[in-house]
Amino acid sequence: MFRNYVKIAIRNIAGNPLFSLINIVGLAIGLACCIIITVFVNYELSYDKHWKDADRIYRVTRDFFGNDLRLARVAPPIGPLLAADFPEIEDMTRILQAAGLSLSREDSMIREDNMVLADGNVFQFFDLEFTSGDPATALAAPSNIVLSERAVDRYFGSEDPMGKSINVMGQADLTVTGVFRDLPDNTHMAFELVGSIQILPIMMGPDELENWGSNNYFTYLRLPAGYDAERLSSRFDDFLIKHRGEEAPSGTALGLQKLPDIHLTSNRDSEWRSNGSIAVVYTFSAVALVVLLIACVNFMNLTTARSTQRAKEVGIRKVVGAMRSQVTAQFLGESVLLTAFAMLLAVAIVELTLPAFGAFLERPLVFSLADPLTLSALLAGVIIVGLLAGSYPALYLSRFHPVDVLKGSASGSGSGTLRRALVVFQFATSITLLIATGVVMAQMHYARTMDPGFDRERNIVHGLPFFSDFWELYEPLRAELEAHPDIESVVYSSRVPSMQNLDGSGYVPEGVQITNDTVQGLSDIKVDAHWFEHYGVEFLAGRPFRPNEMHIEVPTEENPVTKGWAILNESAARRFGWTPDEAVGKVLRQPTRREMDRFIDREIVGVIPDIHFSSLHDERKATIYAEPNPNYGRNVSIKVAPGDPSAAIRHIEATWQKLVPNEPVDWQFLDDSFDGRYRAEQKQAQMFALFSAFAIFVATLGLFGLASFTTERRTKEIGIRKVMGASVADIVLLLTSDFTKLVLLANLIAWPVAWYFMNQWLMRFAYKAPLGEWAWVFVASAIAALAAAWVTIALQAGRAATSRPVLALRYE
Amino acid sequence: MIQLHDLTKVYRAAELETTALNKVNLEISAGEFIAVMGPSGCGKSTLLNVLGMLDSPTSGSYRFLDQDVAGRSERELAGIRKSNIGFIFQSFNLIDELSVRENVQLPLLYQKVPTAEREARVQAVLEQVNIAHRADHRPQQLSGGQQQRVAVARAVVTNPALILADEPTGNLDSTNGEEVLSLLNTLNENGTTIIMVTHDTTHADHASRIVNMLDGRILSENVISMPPVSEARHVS
Repeated sequence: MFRNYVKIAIRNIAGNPLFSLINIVGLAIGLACCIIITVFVNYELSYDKHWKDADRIYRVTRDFFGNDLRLARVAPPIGPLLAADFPEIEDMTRILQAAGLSLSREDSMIREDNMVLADGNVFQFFDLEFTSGDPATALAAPSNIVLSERAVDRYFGSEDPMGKSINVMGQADLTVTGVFRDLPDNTHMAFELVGSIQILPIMMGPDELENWGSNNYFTYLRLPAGYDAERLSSRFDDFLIKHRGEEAPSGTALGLQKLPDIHLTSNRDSEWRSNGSIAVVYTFSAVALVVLLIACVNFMNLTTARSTQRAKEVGIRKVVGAMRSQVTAQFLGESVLLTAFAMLLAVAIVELTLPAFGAFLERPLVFSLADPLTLSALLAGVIIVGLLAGSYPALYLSRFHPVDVLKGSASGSGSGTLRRALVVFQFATSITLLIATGVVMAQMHYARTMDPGFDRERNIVHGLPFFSDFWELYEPLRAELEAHPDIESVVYSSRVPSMQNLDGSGYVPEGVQITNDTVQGLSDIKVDAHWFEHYGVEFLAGRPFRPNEMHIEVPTEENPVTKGWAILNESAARRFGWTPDEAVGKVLRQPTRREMDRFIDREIVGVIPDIHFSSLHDERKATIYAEPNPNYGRNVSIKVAPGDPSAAIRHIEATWQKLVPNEPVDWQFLDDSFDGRYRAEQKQAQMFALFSAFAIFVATLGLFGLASFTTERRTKEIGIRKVMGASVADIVLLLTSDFTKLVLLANLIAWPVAWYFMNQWLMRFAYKAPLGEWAWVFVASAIAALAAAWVTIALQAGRAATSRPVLALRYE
Repeated sequence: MIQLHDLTKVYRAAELETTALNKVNLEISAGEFIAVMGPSGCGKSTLLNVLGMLDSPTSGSYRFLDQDVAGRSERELAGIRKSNIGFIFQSFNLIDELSVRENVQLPLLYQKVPTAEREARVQAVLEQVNIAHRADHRPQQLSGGQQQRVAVARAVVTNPALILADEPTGNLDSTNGEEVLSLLNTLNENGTTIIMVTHDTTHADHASRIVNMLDGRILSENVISMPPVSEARHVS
């Protein structure tokens, strides 16, 4: 009996190539989307699960309420103090990113972005496999360094690195004491060279690891098995009071994040690198399922549409003794078999395209048929999808009564309504996806082209090294660069636009009592006098800095209050309740010590608009601009003349090599680094566009099948109409008007749904593209869907309408 | 074998009620060859469908092999049908996607007959209807007469006690029609009860009894010849 079913199924599949092809291709695309997304989602969920005791490891986080900072890192003393105060903490380790150091080995010099400094126990805390050296003692001395295999390759090639040295910034030689296998990609951390944290007190002063203001240290704790992390974190406020005083919890808070949760759920300021997003995982999963669902609907529609062809078979089978359940089983088996064919095609599609997807999503995605788990998942997929797609047709077809079908009176009229509803569903989801894609694209375009409030064109940015006297380096560099005819101006700032700015401090208007409640946290950006002119920033009130306002006295015990100057942005002025005009001339008092006993009184000389400093995700930050301070950051912006910048770039590189010989040159156009801020969104938008295209394609495929079926069934009617004098246009109109109504109805459903979801999505941006920029997307999607449907149907209808009526009538 | 008492079948459409069978009383013994005749729409086919348990009566009783058919589930009816009744249709009703052999073995598959026995029985019945040489062809490749012989083979392969034939010769020329009728005669001589709907009086002459119908009623029963002596057959 089973063989009989298989035979019938195969002959049915082979005997109706068009329907089979539509079903198999549609299902294959849907299944391939699902497989690719599943591989991606599995990978996203695998982050940091591979570490020993991963579910007992937590990262300590720190929030600052004043300027709304949510840091993934904490100050260096916090880790050891927590471990000392809470005996249940089994172990603690700290890691400091030391990106941008220049390392040299013999003649080659590399600006190293993958170096970290860590506590000596880091390799026992995170169980990395060593190929040389002992993980327990590798970082015992401050001058030790441990390399990953990739780093060994970069610095030593095929040489044995053990015992050899690498020079840091021309200042210290570090000895290689271990080699570990490269970190897997599925971890939120990223490092290739690990030095000892103990070198910091030696290089930067004995207090470096005691500094509560240096929130740069990733700090991890290991808790006992079964221990509720909440029990620990609920006592963090007491911990802060004990070490930082009674008022500390009103300004800052500590928290814990479970290690395997970090990649998908943590999006703090100062992460290791940009993390994944659970929202993206959900969205992609949903979209892949939608494509598959549309393909299943195709199967249902085409199978029930063809039901009259199968009805006779059902009738005969029942007459010769088949139970309804047997007929149902047969049709289900048929759809499972068809799905199996589709799965074979899907696997081929995945094998061909996964490398490209992996490269695009920047994940090493692997799909292996050798894995028994994968195979059983695919098998389960075939059965589930086969049953899902086949369920309705099987129940529908097996219901036929033999007397009716053998008399020829069974018809598919009952399912016509459902079939229409399913077509509307397909188009509604496709149109929703189209609109979503359009809105995402419109927002991206808006973000990239909107006026950020300053002139970012023709700007080249470059960082200056930390381990040198800033002014001794900066002034000659600036003079030399500005001497070139193609360079218009060079300015200093602690951060350049597109960078995230995490610097902030507290300010109180003059005359107001200083307490934790009255201090307003503002974002600090340090600039030199020409910065506003260089970036073309307009002033709402007041004026830019004068050169004499660029140097201030630091308050001391003898002289606890000194004079300074500041420029606010509009939001900062509003914080104090001032209009731009009111703000000019007012004085803000800035405490310089935690004890709040020394101050800089800053006179506000100007107010500028809120410029979009980092990206459109960020809220308008209340920001205060003041005199240069290299401790906040060392960046130069170089404005080149219009036209070909290559001469200017050559001059920048030559000057750099002359003045900073022990640092590699590493400039970037500001435009490029701004675009980089939207990379993740850009990729999401492109993925979205691709999936929407699949959805529309599969839906159109189904419509094509349905239209060809309808046309075939109406061949005789078309013939009679033509004999009666109908024109080709009349016939095409007759056949398209039905589906046109369905697609229009689909739009009615899709618009509000898309409107709701896209409004939610736009909420994530502090600066949203106005409605006028994306309203057209709705109309365009409607037109696109209609066009796709019309072309598809008109192709079929046109063929039927132009054939000779005699042929059509002979069809009987 | 069959007792019908006041059997009535009413079809209801939206506002129209059609009485296809009106209090039909009929008794058929095992081994009879009955020809049902009458003009179009007189209820012949409905009678056959009810007898074949493809359709259920609106009222009245139907006893088949001393069992009451009324009130049984579709599942039970399918069970009785597949072991006792064979069908032959005017339009053959073969499955186009299956070969001749596969069409004929279909009822045996639903009876779960073991493979070896199934193949032997199919081969035997194909030879009996003289179509064995076309066993691996598809129905569309055969002539009408050949197709109907396949349909007969399919009807008798289960060795049914009763064969219901709905105008089996209606789509055939006279030569092919005669051939099919003589097949039915042979089956009847071997003890199979046959009920055949026909328009053609010459074909009706093959029957042992003619039942004339008009407007859902039985007009007359002409006994042509005594039913052949046969052993009683029971539900297997």
